[in-house]
Amino acid sequence: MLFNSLDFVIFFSIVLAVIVIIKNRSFQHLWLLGASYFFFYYTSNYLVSLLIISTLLDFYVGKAIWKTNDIKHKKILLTISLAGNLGLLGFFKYADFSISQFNLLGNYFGFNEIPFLNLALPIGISFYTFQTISYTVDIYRGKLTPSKTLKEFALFVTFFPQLVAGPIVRASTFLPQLREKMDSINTTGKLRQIILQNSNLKFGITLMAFGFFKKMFFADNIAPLVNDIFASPIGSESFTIILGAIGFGVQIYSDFSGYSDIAIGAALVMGFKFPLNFNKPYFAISPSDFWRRWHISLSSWLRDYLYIPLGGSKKSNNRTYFNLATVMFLGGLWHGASWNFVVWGMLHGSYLVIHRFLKQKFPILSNNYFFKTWPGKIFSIFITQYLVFLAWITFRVENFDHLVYSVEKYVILDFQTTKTLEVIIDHKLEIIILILFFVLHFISYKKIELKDKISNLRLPYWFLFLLGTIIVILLFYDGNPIDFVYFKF
Amino acid sequence: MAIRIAIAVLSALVLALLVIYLVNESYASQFEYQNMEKWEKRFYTQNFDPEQKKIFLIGSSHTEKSDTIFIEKSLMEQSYDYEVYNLAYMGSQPATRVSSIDLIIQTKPDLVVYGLEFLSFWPHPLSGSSQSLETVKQNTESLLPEPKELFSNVTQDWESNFIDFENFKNPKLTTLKIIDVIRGEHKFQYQGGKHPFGPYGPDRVMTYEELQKNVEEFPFLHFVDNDSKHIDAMKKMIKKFQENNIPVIIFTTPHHELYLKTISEQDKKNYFLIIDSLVKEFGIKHYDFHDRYSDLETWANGDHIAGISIGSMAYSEDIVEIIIKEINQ
Repeated sequence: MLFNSLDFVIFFSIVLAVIVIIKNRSFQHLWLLGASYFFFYYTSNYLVSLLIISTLLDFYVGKAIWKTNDIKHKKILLTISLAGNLGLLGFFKYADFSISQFNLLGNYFGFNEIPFLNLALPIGISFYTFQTISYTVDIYRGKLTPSKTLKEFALFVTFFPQLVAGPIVRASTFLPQLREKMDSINTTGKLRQIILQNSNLKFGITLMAFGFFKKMFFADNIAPLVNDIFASPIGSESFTIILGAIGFGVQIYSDFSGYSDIAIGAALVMGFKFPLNFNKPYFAISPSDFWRRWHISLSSWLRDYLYIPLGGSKKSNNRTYFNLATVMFLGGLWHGASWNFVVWGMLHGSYLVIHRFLKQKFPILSNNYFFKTWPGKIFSIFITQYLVFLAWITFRVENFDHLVYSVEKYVILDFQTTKTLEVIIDHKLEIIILILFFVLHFISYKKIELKDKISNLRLPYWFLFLLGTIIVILLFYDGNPIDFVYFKF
Repeated sequence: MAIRIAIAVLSALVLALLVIYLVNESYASQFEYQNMEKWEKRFYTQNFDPEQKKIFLIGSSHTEKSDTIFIEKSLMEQSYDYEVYNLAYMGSQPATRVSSIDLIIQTKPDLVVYGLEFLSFWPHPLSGSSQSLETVKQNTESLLPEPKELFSNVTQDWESNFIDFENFKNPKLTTLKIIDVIRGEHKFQYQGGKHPFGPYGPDRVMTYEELQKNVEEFPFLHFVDNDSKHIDAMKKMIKKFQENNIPVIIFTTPHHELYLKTISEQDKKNYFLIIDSLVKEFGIKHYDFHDRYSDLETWANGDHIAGISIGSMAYSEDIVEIIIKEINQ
């Protein structure tokens, strides 16, 4: 079910209405669980069975890990959980990709081709798999007590706002909120009653309005420019490619952070606080700063469950570089079964490695006064974003020829403008929206508490904010709800 | 307080929808094909010079891409003095065109050249009657009941029984046109001239790669049963033209080779069977251009030749040729 559809508006209204009317704790949680399964079933039909399998596996394995004191036994159980989760993810997401790569090699050596499995990709599998992995790993590490009931755990896995495209929520964040003592992991074990609180309601709806605006006004209206440029980039001028890269960067940010805002807002309306997933990434001043601001729930997951277990930065420099590159390579692959994402991940890996190397070799650079001044910060932002948008090209292009051509044009400027001007004239609206995005992005960067301020407006002014936002969204809505980009991951 | 917040959200939603609905209702009816009935009336009831001979080109947007200025000039060079009007417009099908048949006859054209295409006798893809390949695929892949279908059935029922959503389906289109009007780049008013119902001007020529992508995105890869109302309407029009001594010829409009590949051989065969029956029943001429320029680099998309391009010139030349053949008979 798309957030940006009438279906969701009706679905969400019904879910809330029932929660408000029937104030029975047990019923409320069952109702939320049922609604979440319905939400997934609505989009994915029989693939809901995978979600159920994953839930059952990790609930019982988690319990077993907690109960046993034998380290060896714990390790075996954790391996079962990892193999089950990664097996499902690998099979459904990467089987056909692996077959195609095997067939490519096989052709070279004269082997017979293996037929494709043509499996349907279960929506959200990358997200809920990572959530369940974090659950069993945290229990293994002794950082988390397992869920007391299957209902509680199932609700953590399937909770509909974050089910399909994140943010990747940890059990240690979610489960205490389900129980009575919200501020502590050591809870009484009773599930709390869900009460719609005014402050949560207003802030949650404000966040949702921001999310819808990002997705439906910015992302969907910039998409035609990006599609036009990257449908056949060969022959395009450098400035056209740069425009396409910037356009795609803004599109994917507005799309994904818009989804996150709606998810976080919808959860908050029901009283669940999710962590921030984006923090103005296009104002990052270094590659590592970018990853502290972009898809924060994924980068922190990769840090805690991959980078640190690999040794993090505690071992030799070379090992740290290797760890960074490996994490980013796997992070790229997590996005999808395509070389685009692998190259994208590797590029970001190389940025992190080079940045770290330069910082260590030339500490004078990072301590230089210039980088603490405004011009220095602008310079750092410019360099970082130049690299980030270069990487977005690898994410967006459709084949290898397009990739080589586009990257070459992006890096080696031809200073031609004739065709770029034609593109701009053909896409005036998209260009204006792109400029508007950067203006608003800058305002939100300078005024960090913008969402808070809006949600604290007096009701008549807040109503006007909502009305204006909805009108602008609808005025530029073309009648076709477009999938969120991250749905396919 | 929570109730007041809920009321504020609901009111904002309802008020916003109302504003959009009113904007669309007020302006959308003045746009292009949505107001074709009014525009046709204005065109056909103008004062034509009774001494001046006239040729009408009729059809959909595929016929729109022939250049009346070029056709007139070419005819004049061969001493045929005719005013040529291209009365094609986007989405025109026989069952819609038949409503203006009496108006056309009133103006007494000396020749009607009617462009038909593979989709002419099928429910129009924009009407939503045909299914995209994606939808067909999705439906066959579902193993359990689809709640999505149930929901869309309910909303379709609302649409057909209670509310007319027609002008509300693409508010962006209306907004962009209003912006164009404010900037003086678009006129709501009827333009008149030789292409009164659809502007004729230069279009960007797509590369082969772009065409491949464009054709892949066609929403009408899967034809459904042909629609007898279009065949009946076509017959009615030809009969009326002949009863009023207005000669009529038909031709099949051109398409790119990639587009043609998306149409099954059976669908093509069915189309030509209908054309054959029209030719036999009324003794009219049919000219087939369906694949004539299919390999030229002249396409604005898979089924439209780019305006003012080598293809549109060749297309117009061929139309000149069939007009002269008909006049000389």
